[in-house]
Amino acid sequence: MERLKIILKKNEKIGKFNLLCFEGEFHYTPSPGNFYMLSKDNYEFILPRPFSVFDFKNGKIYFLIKKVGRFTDFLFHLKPGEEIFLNGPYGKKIEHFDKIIFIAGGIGFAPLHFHSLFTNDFYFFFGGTTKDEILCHKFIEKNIFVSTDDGSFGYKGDVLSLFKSHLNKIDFKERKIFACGPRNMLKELKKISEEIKIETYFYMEERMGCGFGGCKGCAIKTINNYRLLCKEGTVFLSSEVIFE
Amino acid sequence: MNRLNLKIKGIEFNNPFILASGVWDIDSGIELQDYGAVILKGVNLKGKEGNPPPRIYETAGGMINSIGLENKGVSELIRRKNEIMNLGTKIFGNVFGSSIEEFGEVVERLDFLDGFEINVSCPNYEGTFFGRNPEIVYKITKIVREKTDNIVFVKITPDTDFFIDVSRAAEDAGADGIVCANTYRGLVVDINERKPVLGGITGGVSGPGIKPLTMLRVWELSKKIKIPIIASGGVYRWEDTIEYILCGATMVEIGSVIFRNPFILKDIIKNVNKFLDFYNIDNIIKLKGKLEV
Repeated sequence: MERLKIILKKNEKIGKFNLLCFEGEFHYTPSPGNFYMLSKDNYEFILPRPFSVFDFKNGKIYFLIKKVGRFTDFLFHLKPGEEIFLNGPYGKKIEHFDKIIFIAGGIGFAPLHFHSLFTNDFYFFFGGTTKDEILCHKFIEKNIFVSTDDGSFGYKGDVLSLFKSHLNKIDFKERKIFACGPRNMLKELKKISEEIKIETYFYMEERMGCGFGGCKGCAIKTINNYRLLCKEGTVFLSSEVIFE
Repeated sequence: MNRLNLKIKGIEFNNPFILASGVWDIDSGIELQDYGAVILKGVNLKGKEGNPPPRIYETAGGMINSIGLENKGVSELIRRKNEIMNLGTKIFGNVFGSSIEEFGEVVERLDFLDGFEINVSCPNYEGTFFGRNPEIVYKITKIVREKTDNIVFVKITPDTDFFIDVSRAAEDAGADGIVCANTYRGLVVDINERKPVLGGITGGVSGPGIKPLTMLRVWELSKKIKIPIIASGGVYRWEDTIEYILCGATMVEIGSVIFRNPFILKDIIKNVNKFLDFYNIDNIIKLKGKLEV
C-alpha cells in the first residue's frame, strides 16, 4: 500500500461519464480486483472514496467516473495540473484470466474493462440506460455485445436479457462470469447463473471508510455472516452473497 | 533528544500519540511501531457480528458510524497473541461487555497486553448506558483493577452532563487515566426513503467537527481529576494534538484521519517537534494544561 499525490493529466467526457487520467510516482502496480481510495486533504471531504481501476499504463492511472455525489462532482470539475491523493492498491487480486464472460451494468464497466485487459478469451456484455452510458464500448475491440434500456444503441432491453438471448450462440459452459453493476442486476444474475450452472463472481460495492480493513464499515451480508468488501473482496462468489 | 516521551504509572511511552481503537486491524498493513501505543479493536468475551450495513457515512465536518463492535471474541486475540505482541509498540485492548463481570473476565484473559481501554461508552452498544452511570463505571473499573496490574484507561462518553462524575468514579476505583471521549450519538436521514441512512439507525459522530466539543470536555475534566487524560476526538492536523495538550491532555488518540492518510503520524511527529523547537520547549509535557484564560 502506498499514498501518493497524483496529478490530473486529462479529464475527458465520455457520454455520461468522465475518464480521468492521473500521473504519479507509483511503486505498486494494480491488478484486476484492486481499488484505490481517492481523497483531498481538506475539511470538505473527510473520508476517502473508493474507486476501481479502469486502466493503468506507462505510469498513468485511469478512473472512469459517474457523477453520483459531492466527491464525483468535484472530480468532474478537476482541471489538468490539479492534485489529489491516492491510497492503495487495496482489495484482493483476481486470479482468473481465461475464458470469461463479463457482464457490466453502467459504471460497472470500469473494473471489468481493467480485468478484460488481462484476459485473452472473453465475451463482454455491457448495458446502459441510454446510449450516453455505453460510449465506453469503443474501448473493447472484440466480442462486445451492447444493450440500452431505451434501444438508442444496440439491443433494446437490459443487459441480462441480452446475455440470455446469446446463450445458444456462445460457448458458455466452460466459462466463468464476472459481473459488476446495480444490486438488482446482480441479484437477478445470481438466479440466472444458478439455473445455467456457471461459476459467477460479483464485483461488489458498499460505503467504505478506510479501504484497509480497519473500520469494518463496508460489511456485506454473505452466507458466512458479514464480510468486509475492502479486505475480503471486492470480488465475491455470487453464491456467497445474500441480497435482501 | 526525544522531546515527546512521557511516563504513566512508571511506564515510558515514546510519544503521546495513540492509535485509536476501531480504525485499524492487525492485518491492516498500517505502520504501528512509531505510535506511543496502539489500541486494538473492541473485544468482548464471545464476539459480536456487528450491525447491518450501511455502517458508515460522511457528515458535514465528520462522519457517523454504526459498526456495532464487530469482533471475534477474546479467544481470537489469544490465538494471535504472538502476532499482536510483535506489532512493535505498546498494545492496549479495548474491552467491552454486557455485564460488569464480563469486563473483568475479558481483562483477566488478555493480561498479556500492555494495558486496557475500558469501553463503557460505545454509542452502538448498551455501553453508553453503563458509561452514564458513575456507580456502574466504578464497579466495572474496580473489577478490572482487581484483575490486572497493567495500565487501565476508562473511555468515557461525552453524551452526559455527568462525565466528570463518571470520570471521578473511575479514578476512585483505580483507573490510571481517562480517555475523553468516545463518539457522540447521532442520526442521519435519507429524505427520499424517509429512513435512517445507517443500518443500525443511530451511530457515533466523529471527525474534526466534534473536536471543539471534546476539547471543552478535556479542559473541564482536567481541572477535576488527578489522573492523566487521553484526549480522543477529531484530530486531523498536528496542531490539534497541541491544542488538546494545552487543554490538559497527557496523551492524544489519532483516529479516523488515518483512513485518508495512513501515514499521518510521521507528519504529526515532525511538525510537533518543529513547534517545540521553535518555542524552545524540551518536552511536550511542559505544555500540558498551559491554556491561559
